Amino acid sequence: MTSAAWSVVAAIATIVGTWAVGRREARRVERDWQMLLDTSAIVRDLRASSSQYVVYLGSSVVLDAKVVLDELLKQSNARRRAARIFAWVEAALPKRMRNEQLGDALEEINTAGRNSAWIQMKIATTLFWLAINAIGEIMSVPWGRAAK
Amino acid sequence: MLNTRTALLQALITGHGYGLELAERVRERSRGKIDLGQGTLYPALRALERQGLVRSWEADPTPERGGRPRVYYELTAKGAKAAQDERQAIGSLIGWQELGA
Repeated sequence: MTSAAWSVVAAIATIVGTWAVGRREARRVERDWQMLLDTSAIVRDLRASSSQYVVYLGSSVVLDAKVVLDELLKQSNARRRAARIFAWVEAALPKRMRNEQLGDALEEINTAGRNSAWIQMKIATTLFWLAINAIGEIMSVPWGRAAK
Repeated sequence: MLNTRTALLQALITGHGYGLELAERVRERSRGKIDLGQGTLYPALRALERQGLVRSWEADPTPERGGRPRVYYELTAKGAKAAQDERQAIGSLIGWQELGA
């Protein structure tokens, strides 16, 4: 084979190789984006249409967004868990404590910017203080000091 | 002298508020020195109500509270007098300390 023929083969291989690598990378990014959008859809309780959101921004952006969305997902789950636990314990509490202490705790938990670890801690401390305050309320009844 | 009761009465002088808001007001006005937790805030508010120093009412339920209403507090006439007396007492005490008497 002449050197000219080798040059043609090398050029074709370069073009095909570049196209194949580019295509593979584009598919990987599309997959990353779809995963990210699926997570986002779970967080926001939405159902995203995949084709509308396939946008190439580079893998580092996708990875950063994944970290953020993972935390958002954890926060969302922690908030749902808080609502579920509080709904479960409120049956055993006086109306005032339900509306005031549980309501305030839930309002604080639903405030933007609270991370998932903080929410978990808030659930635990709220349950602890609800128990202590409920005992205090019960103890105050015999002395006629019960809250309305 | 400066206990939870005093802090809440002083916070309520500026107007009515609910538990979280009052705790935040106390934290801001004390520049973070007094942080009322759940273990002190709610029993203290109920104690103030039993003593007739504050009265409470429930607002409309809100979604961020899981459909529970906020419980607002405001000073009664007796509470307003107690708050003013305590404010004067604290002022006198600080003045006395600053003079080094």
